[in-house]
Amino acid sequence: MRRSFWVWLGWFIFLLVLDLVIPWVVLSSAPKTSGALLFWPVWALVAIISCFMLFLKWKEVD
Amino acid sequence: MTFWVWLSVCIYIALGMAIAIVARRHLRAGMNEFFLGGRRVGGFVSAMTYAATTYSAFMMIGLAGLTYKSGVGALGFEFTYLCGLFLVAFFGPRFWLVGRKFDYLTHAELLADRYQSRAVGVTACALCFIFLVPYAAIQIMGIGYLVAGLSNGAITLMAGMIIAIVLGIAWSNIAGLRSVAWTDAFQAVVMVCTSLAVLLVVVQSGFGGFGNFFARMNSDIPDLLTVPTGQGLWDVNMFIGLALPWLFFSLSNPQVTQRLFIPKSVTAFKQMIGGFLIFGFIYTLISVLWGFAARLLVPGLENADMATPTLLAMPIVPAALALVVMIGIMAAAISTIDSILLTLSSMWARDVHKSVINPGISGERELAISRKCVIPIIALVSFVFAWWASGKTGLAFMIAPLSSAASAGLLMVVPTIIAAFFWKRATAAGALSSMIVGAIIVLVLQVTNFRPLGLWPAVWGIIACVILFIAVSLVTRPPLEKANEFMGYLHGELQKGNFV
Repeated sequence: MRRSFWVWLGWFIFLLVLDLVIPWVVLSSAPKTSGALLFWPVWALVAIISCFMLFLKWKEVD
Repeated sequence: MTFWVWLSVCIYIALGMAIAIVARRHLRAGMNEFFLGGRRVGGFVSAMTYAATTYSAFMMIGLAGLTYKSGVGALGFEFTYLCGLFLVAFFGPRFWLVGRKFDYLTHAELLADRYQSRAVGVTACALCFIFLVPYAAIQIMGIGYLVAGLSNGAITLMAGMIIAIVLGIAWSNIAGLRSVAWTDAFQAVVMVCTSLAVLLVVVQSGFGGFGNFFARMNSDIPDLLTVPTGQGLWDVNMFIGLALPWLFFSLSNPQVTQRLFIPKSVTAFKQMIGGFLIFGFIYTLISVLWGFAARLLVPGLENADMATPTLLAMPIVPAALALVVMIGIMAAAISTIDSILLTLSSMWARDVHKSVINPGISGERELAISRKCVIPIIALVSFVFAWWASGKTGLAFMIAPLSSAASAGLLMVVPTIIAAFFWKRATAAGALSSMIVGAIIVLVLQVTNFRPLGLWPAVWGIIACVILFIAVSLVTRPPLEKANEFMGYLHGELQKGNFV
């Protein structure tokens, strides 16, 4: 397996850890729209941009 | 209003039929052509059919309803699914490459060949039938709720459900994936444009703009802006229990994995993933904000899944716009129903009928069985399930939890899929035992509503599934020759395409 595979896998798992830790630990006492309601869209955008960075490198195969 | 509801539905049906009939002109002969569009589908249509198949009545009815009832956790739950598209970046090219090389039609066929076991294919297929029928039923229920709510009951729940199932059968039959994909593309555009338009209107006329909307959320429903909520919903166990099957949705659901076979090129594949991610981000935000708007404007609903129909029926939403949104939501549901019908019928024809019952069957006969027998039978069973479930209330019978419960069962095939691509030592016995035991655990825990240590069925199911898969594989004999051919081919091609 190439090194990039493990780097991307690690990044994906890190994002999933943030998905739990930030809303349930850091923002659980912030009952405002600037809390979890803001965090999750930002988090999703980071995930989406990461996906784009991953697949934009792909090349055509025969 | 009833007249206008019927008129809108008729216009939508006429447009959809016209697109499906035009798609039929491009249809050639053969199973690959009917079920995969000949593996020649362009990037835009691939992206839109992926989006329309994935996003269903679940979003504007189910996710909005879940937000109405339980708040911001619903947003995290759905965005976790979107983050699961990372898995498509890992597995998508692998599916696509081996699909072309070995001519696979379904993921069950891929597994049967990779593990050199027809039983593995049949079991994967059985899981899809058991768990996808409730999912299709949910879409049917969604349409029923919608038209009944908008017409104040003048159009009954039953009439709405009949329209949904008849259109699902028609559009999956007219030109197979080609008619489904083209109508999906049309429907996806309708879904996102109409829902965005009505959200803007509701926020403007109901609250005076987004600033006031967020201020009302902060002052009126602060307990819904954290996880867990003030009422104790969305504890970590609930989130993991619902989000875990959702995270792996892109690998576990056959109507989605089948779409990994259809793009005509790597460029089209990239457009499919990119288009879907952008679509998903926008549509998720719209659905969740819609749920919050409903909570502020029409609080106190007994059935949270009625939040969207109730909000659409309010005077602040212009009647014409409400009708257009109704069509958008119908489109979302029907595009999922017809995809499920098409995929399940291909699985029956290829992975059960041809593989087990009649291996010598011709392609024409295989196709005829799918279209004329399997699609109507699955549709009927889904309809009966929807009719039964629509009379029930409570969290377990809401659209979003029902959807996740269906995916919890399908999750049990994921270790078998992952190992097919990454673990040469994996065996058919490991795959069979893990899928069967995992699915039984999920079913029993869901039916009994028993949650040992507070963990949800999907969590217990996947723990047992993974342990069994590894343990049984280690003590049984793997199909090494096939594993080497399969993974050896992928190794070379993945490097050529610069895939991870």
